[in-house]
Amino acid sequence: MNSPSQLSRRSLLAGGTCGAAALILGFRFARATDGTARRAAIATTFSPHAFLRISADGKVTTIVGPAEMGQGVFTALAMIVADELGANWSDMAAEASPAAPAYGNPLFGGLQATNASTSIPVFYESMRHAAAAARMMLIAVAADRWGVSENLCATAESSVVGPEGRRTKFSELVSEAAGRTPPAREFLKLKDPKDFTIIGKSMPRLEGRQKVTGQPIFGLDVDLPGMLTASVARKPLPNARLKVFDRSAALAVPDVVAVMEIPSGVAVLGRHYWAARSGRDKLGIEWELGEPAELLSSVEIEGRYRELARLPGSVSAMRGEAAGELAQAGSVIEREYVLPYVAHAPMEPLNCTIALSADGCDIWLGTQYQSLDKKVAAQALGLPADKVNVHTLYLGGSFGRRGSPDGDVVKETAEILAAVRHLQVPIRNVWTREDDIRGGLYRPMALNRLRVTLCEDGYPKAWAHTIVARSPCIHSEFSFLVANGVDETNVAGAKDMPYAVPHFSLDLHAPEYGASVQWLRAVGNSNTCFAVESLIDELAHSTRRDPVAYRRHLLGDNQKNTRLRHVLDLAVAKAGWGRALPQGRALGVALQDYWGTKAAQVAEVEIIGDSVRVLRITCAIDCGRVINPDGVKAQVESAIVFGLSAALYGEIELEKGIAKQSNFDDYPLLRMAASPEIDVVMVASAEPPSGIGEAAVPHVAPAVFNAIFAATGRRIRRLPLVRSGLQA
Amino acid sequence: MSTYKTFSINGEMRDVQAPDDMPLLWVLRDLLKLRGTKFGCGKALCGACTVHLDGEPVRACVLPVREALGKSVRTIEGLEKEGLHPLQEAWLEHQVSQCGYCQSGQLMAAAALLQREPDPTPSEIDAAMSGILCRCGTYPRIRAAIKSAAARLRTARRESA
Repeated sequence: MNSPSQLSRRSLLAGGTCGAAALILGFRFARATDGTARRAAIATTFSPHAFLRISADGKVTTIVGPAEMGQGVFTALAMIVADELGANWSDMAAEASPAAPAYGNPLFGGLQATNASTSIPVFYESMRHAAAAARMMLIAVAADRWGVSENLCATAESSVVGPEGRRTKFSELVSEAAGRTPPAREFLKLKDPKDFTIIGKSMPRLEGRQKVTGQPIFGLDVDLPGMLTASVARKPLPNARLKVFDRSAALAVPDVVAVMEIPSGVAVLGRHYWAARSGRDKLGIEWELGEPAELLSSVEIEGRYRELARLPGSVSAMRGEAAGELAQAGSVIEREYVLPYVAHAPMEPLNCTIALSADGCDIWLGTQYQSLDKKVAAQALGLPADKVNVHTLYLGGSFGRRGSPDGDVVKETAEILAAVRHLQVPIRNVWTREDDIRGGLYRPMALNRLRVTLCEDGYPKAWAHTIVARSPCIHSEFSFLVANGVDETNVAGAKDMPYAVPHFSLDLHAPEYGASVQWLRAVGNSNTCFAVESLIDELAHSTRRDPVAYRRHLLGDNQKNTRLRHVLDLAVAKAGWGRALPQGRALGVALQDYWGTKAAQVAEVEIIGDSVRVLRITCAIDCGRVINPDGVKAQVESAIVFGLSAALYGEIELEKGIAKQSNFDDYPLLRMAASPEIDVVMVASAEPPSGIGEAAVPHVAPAVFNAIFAATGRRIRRLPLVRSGLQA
Repeated sequence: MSTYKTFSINGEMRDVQAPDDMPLLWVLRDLLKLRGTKFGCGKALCGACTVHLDGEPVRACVLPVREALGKSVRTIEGLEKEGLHPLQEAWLEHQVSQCGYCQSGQLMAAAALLQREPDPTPSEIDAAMSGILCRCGTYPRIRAAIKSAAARLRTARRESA
C-alpha cells in the first residue's frame, strides 16, 4: 500500500538498526528502539536504513521524507531504490516518513522541508546508497547459503542470482539479512549508470490508482471518531482587535458544540464542517482594524517601492563600475517591471487534524514542512517535540503554501485543541477558500528598476538592477539564506544572470510592510526572469536584433553557458523560430537557469483585437540525469500552466491592508479552454540530477509578453496581463 | 432543523439526518463518509465537488440536500461498479493525475460529457471541462485521456451492438 496514512511508525523505527543508518550515511534515527520491539520486527521486515524497508512478502517500501504534492517524488525516489536494489517495479511502494531527523534535508541544515526543488538532487545519492547497502546485504546472505563468493552474485527482478542458475527471492532472504551489519559507506558498490534499467524510463505514479478512484488520501479526508471540525473567523489583519461577536447565535446552530477566542480569531466547533461554517457565519463578528502601517493598499505599497527603487539598496552583486558608467553615459535605458502579490491557491483548502494521545499528540495533514509542524504543535500544546507524531498525507496541491514559515495552520489547530482539551476529542481545522485567498503569505510584490547603457555594438555595457520586494526568508528558519540584507531567494536569477555585461550591479530593498509573504513555486525567480528576460528582449528590439540571436551573442562561448545555449537552441528549433506566421501571431522567448536546471521557452500567441490567446508553449529543459521522463514532462506542463495563470490573471490587491480577492471568481486560475498546447524537449544528460518542480515556471510570463510585443509592438511591464487592458 | 432524508447514492438507498440547507457535498463527506468528492471553493467555481444528479453533472458544494431528495446521486466511488471506468483507465494510461485533488471532479465531469456526447470535439471537451479547475495544470493530459476513453467506449459499444 502506498498511502502515507498507512505508515506504521512502529514498524519503521523498530525495524531500523541504528548502527546501520549511521554507518551508511551518518544519519541517525530520532529515537532508540527497545530490543524486544526490534527483534519482533526483524523477524518480518528488513529495514537496513531509514529510507527503505523490505518485508517478508517481498514488498519494497521507499520511505520518503519529502512531501508528495503532485510532483511525483514518491515514484521518482522509489525508482532510484528499485534500480539500485535490483527490484521489480511491481514490488515497489512508497510511504511518507515520520517527522524525524533522518529525513531532514541536508541542504537546509536538516530541516524536514520540501522546497526549492531539492528532493531529487539531495536524495538521489542517498537513496542509491541505502539501496546499494540493502542489495549487498541480501547478496551476502544468499552467497553464504550457496557457499559461493559474493562477487559471483548479483540482483535482478527482486532476487539474488548466482552461479549455475541459482536464484533466491529477496523475500526469502529478508529475515536473515536483517540480522547483519550493513557495509560501511566506503565499501558500497554503486551500479554503473549505464546499467540502469528503471532510472531514465517513464514509470507510472505509484499512487495513481488511488487518485483516480477518490480514495481518502488527503488531509481533508481524515476522519477520526468523535472528531470536531473547526472553522475560524480569522483576524483580517495581524494586529486587528476583536470588538464584538455573538457567541449565542453561533451556538444556536444545530451541531455547533463550542465557540472560543483563540489568538488568530474566533473558532466555531461543530460536529461536521457545515455546522462549524454555519455557526461562524452567525458570529456577526466586528473587528477594530490594525495599526495604520498595516492599512496600506497595494497601490500605495507599489508607490513606496517605486520611490525606494531610486535609492541604493543592500548590495547583492557588483562587477565593474556600473554606477559610474551609467552616470557618464550619454543615453541610459531605464525600465521598471512590476509583479503583484499572488496567492498559491492549492485546490485542497488548508487543513490540519490533531488528536491528543496518552503522552503526546498525532497530527495529520498535507505538509511541506514536518520539522516545523512538530515544533509548533509541541509549543502550542506544551508537549516535548518527540511526543508529536506527524502523519504526512498526500497534499492536494501546495506550491509552497503548505510549508509556511510560521506553521500557521498547525499552530492554529493546536491552539484550538489546547482550548478544548477537556472535551478529549480530535480537532480538524478547515479553512475556506476565502480564508486561503485572503490569508496572506503571498508571493512577494516586486518592483524592479533597471538601468542600462549600451556599447556601440548594441550590447549592454553597464547594467544596474534594483529590486524591491519583501523577504520571504528573513523571519523564518531559512534566514540563513539572508546575508547583508539580501535574501538569496529575492535575487536568484538576477544575480546569476547568464548574459555577459562588463559592468553589473544588483541591489535589494526588502521593506517589512505590506502583505505577509512566503515562498511560492519558483520563488523570486519568477520576478527576476520577468525583469531580465523582458529587458533583454527590449534591448534586442531597440537595436533591431533578433531576440534569439541577441541572447546567443550575450551568452557567448562561455563554458558555463553551454547547457543554457543548448536548451535555447532546442527550444527555438522545436518551436520553429523565424517561421512565417499569420497576421496577429508571434513568438516570444525566455530563458533562465533555475538553481541548476536550465530551461528555455518559446511562446506562440495570437492577438485578435484586445484578446490574447496563448496557442503553444515549447519548453526545452536540462535537469541533468532524468529519473522519470514522463514525470519531468508532467512537471514542465504543470509549471507552464501555473506560470500562465500568474502571467494572465494572478493578482492580489490590498485595500486598507486587506485582500480584495477572495475566491476563484475574482482570483481566476487558468482553465482548460485557455490552456495552450505544450511541447517539452528534454536533454539527455549524465550530469547530476537537478530539480524540476519549479524550474519551468519563471519563463512563461516573459516568453508570453515578449511574444505579445512581437505581435503588437506593445510592451507590458506589469503583471498580470488582464490589468493591461488586454483580455485572455 | 435536522430531518430524516433518503437518497439513492451510487445505486444504494441511504438515510441521513441533515438540515435542509446543508450542501450535498457535506452530507456526502461528513455524514455518509464518502470522501472522494472534494471541497475546493464552496461556491460552484472550481468543480472539485462535481457529482451526477440523475446523470447530470452538478456542483455538490452549493446543492442543498433537499434538492437531491428522491433523485439519484452518483459519486466517484460509484463511477464504475467493479474495476475501473474506461475514463479511469485512460487517466492512468495518460498519467493525468498530479496532486490528484481535483481529479474526482474532472472524472465525473468527463463521464457526464461522454454520456451526452460519445465523440466530443476538442472544443466540446474544452467547454465541458473548463468548469473544473486543476491547479497542477493537468489539462493537456485530461484532453488526451478523454479522447482515448471516448474511442475505447465507442469501440466497446460497436462490439456489443
